[in-house]
Amino acid sequence: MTWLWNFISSSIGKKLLMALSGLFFCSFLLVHMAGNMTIFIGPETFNAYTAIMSSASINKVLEVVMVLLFLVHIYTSATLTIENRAARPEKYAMDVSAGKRTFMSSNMFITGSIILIFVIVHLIGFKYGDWSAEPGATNTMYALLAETYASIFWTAVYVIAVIVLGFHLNHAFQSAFQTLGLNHKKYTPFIKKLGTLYSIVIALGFASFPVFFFVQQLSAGG
Amino acid sequence: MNLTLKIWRQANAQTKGKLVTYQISDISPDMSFLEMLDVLNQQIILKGEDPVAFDNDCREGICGMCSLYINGRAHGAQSEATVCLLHMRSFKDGDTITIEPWRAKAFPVIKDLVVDRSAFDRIIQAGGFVSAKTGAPQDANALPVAKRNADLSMDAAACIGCGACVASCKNASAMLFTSAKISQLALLPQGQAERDRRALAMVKTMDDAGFGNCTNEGECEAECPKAIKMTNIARLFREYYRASIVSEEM
Ligand code: SF4
Ligand code: FES
Repeated sequence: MTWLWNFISSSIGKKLLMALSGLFFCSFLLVHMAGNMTIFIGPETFNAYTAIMSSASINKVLEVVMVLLFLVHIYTSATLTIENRAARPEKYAMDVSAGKRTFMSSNMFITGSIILIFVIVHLIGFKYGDWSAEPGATNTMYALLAETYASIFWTAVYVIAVIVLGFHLNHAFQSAFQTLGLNHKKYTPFIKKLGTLYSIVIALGFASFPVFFFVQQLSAGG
Repeated sequence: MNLTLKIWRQANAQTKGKLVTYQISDISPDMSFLEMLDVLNQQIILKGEDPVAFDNDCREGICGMCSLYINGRAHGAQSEATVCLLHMRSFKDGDTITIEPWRAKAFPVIKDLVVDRSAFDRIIQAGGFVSAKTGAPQDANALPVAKRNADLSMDAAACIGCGACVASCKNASAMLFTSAKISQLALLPQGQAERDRRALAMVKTMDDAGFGNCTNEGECEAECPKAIKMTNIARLFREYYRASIVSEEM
């Protein structure tokens, strides 16, 4: 089994683990966003959706998989970043981009770290927050969302976090395909465009939820 | 032309270096960048001081020896050319030019602007060769090679091993170089016998040399004087995946 360990601990093996776990999160985000869209249908539909999600046993399995993949993603990014910093101990006095460097590509570790903090806050606030999916309960997930996003502070935190997520995804999406070895003139331009579209849709889609609640209570209060 | 040069001076690998400022005058715009440095060194020698050490050999863009980081760019700001093909007409009278060596842990400074690129040689030694007898010239013609593969292999073989890809990568990754050397052989029938062993050994040697890891940014491709493409890096990944799965090595 040394071959497997050699593979996983190699530069390319670590990159593959990062790409595969990242692509899994990309699909998770789509499902998560689609589910949240039930918010716009109404409180009953959304609460029914949260009840299904919190009781379905397949989700318990998925949760474990997600946590493991999250740890893989964090571990590989941390080790790759440490190695990358160590690979250039002495910095250039003058360093100018040849044109391919972007804000996204040069700040993956920073945007990733912000997302990590956000995910923890997000899980504490909602998944493990004070809510119930029991029939007749008043402290529903919908009520919790409405309460949280009545605050301009939380609305701003969430909107900023999903914008950071969008920046991370923009580089991540196309980068993952390159790491899988998929780079060809017949589809790579399409993958790059799809990645940009995907990151914008995810950022706007997730930002729409807090903004929806914030605007709703503004108009209700005003 | 009158210029201010800020040049990295470092006596050897053990001592710390620093940027030293030199003034130089009456430089012809027709001179190459290296000829300008020759003029500077002549002046330094006449003053009885130690001339600036820099690597160069062919001075026609084919050997890969010249290796200067000029004003923050590998081989200067021009594209698809080495430093030896950079001319002073690319600069303006009165310019300040900062000249640094390639910076990477795997490329330690030997002296001033000269770095030790033997890590590249070790990567080649690990598998960048074909040990099958390739026969006489007419035998080569007897082997069918698809035109497309011949072209792609030739493009990859254009790599001169200068190290600009490592120098310009924010992670000091050597994946563009390694991918060019692997692609060149993986695309040809002569390269098949050692294909898997080659991919495993060259990547291992590359990792052990202390280069960073590619983050798919593409600065290397933009700075490479031989226009080696990142599609080669994708091929390197495919070769490595393939080798890990099918090779006999346990
Ligand atoms: S890939 Fe390009 S930049 Fe890198 S060593 Fe080869 S020729 Fe130089
Ligand atoms: S001196 Fe040979 S490539 Fe520049």
